[in-house]
Amino acid sequence: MIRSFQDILLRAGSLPPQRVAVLYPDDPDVMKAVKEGMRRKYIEPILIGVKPNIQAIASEIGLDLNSIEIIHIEDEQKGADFCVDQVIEGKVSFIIKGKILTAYMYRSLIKATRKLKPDEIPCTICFHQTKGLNKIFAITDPGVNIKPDIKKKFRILNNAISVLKRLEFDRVGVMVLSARREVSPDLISAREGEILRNMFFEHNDDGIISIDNEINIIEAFGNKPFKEDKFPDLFLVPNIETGNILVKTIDHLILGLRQCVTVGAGIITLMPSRSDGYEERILNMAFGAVLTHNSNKNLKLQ
Amino acid sequence: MSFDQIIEIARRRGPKRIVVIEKGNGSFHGVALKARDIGLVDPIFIGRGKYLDGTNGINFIHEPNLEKAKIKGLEMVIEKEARIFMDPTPLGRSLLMSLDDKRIGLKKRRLISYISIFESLKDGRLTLFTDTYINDNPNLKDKVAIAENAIEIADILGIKRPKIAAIAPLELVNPAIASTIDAAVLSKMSDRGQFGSAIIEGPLGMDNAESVMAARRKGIESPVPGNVDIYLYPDIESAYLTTQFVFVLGKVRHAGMLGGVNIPTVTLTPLDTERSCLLNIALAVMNAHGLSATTNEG
Repeated sequence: MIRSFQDILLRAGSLPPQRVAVLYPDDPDVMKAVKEGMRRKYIEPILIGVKPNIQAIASEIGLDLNSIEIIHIEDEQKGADFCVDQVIEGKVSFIIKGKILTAYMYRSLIKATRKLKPDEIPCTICFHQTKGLNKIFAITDPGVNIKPDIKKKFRILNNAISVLKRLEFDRVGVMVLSARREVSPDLISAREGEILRNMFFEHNDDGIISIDNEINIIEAFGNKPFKEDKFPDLFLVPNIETGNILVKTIDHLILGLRQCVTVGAGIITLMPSRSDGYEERILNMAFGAVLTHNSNKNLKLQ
Repeated sequence: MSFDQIIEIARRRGPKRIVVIEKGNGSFHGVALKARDIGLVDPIFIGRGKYLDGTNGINFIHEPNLEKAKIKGLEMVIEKEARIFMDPTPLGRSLLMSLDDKRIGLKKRRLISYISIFESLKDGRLTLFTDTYINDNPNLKDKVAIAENAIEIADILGIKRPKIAAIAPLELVNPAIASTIDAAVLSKMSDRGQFGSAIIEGPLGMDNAESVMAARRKGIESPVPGNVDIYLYPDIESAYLTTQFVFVLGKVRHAGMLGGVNIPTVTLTPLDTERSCLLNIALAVMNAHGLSATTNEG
């Protein structure tokens, strides 16, 4: 089981390199990470974007493009669509988002998911590692779905759980978060949590998933020391606003490390944030390599 | 300022007479006694709990009806027989209603809100989150009051010109996302001096609130990013849940206070521990003193 980002790096180092599509790598940080990812044999990249820009940045950071395939696409939406098609056709394992607005990537993923797996919806899953907790945990969905209803939340959870299974979790502890309190005992998020618990109770075929009865970590642990294995692996937030604010707060005020992936129809897209440095980007690739390798190892997608 | 300094200043200003509602199970009366032992307060208990009767050196008024005990306790503070009111049962609607009850003689000035205070992991500074417990979906008018309440508490903590981040999921005003509009309006009100010397900047994503670099990259020139004293959250889900992660995973020292009430009040929420409860009492002592921490003590 993977407990830390260090475990991810070690695992990725032991795998054969994955063929990946890098969308708009014309940014020095992105390109440097590509170069290092190749050196560490995590990836074999195809670069998609505006060819002269790619060439200029590659020469700036000293990356030899001779053995690298470059696909010239100027239109960003077409570029994103092309990458998704490459994954569907099995030509690449995953996508690394470079200097392109997230919205283009989301749009392509939503389109592809609707076509391939109409029962699924794409969502973003952020993995966090914080000091003093000897495991990584995930939060969904701070990225794609703005105010998901109960049906969408069920699909988001299923999608996220399928990703966590790829990280070899033998049990996925899930908490459906709500701010229900004594002064406000009737929040929608709490009611939806109850329904979701029942839905999962009926669909929990392999017994891997366990949904907490508690609806937030104070209710579960009461601000006291707790056993790490009792700490949930996956948190579902009530809406995108809470998700966005929560994941960034963990970065900045708890000084945690974060890795985000967006997944739809089994297509994995790595979404490094603009502020990610070189180390984070390398780790990002390792994440992609481990996640896709384990999906090919016939861990079936939901 | 740190919590240690708060306790130190509060001790110098104490002890203040505190009236504590006692349910009879003795849950948090130990904290009140501990606060007495270090010179913060001089407690008088009111309610159930015969075992307190006649116990050496403990003031106890027997009133088996807890509702009556609460009213009596509040009246004692209004009539200046005590300076601080403490109800160690988990904060619920009934106390909020009593704190707002004109019949007892309490006049609400504003909306009541809750402020969580903690020592930042980055630099140890006292940092405020609000509203982390009371209002589910505050509208713009509510948020003005929530900001004013927090500015008042910041003043007690010696933060004279608080920098306030009106948090939203992104830093652009998006007409489809109400929190970005509210944050922008608060920010404009602040530009016009409507919050006195406090500065509200927003909308800010949590990343641009925390980093000058990230803010500049988005074209935000403001003294607030990288220097936030008060985080103003858009709603209860984001505020209460985020606070829990910071307290539980960050293991920070923390406390909490009601804002917008007319009498210094110590309450408990699920966020509290015995340790934080002691700090809540110290903060109420500072509040009861009525002057900011730095005015006299420098």
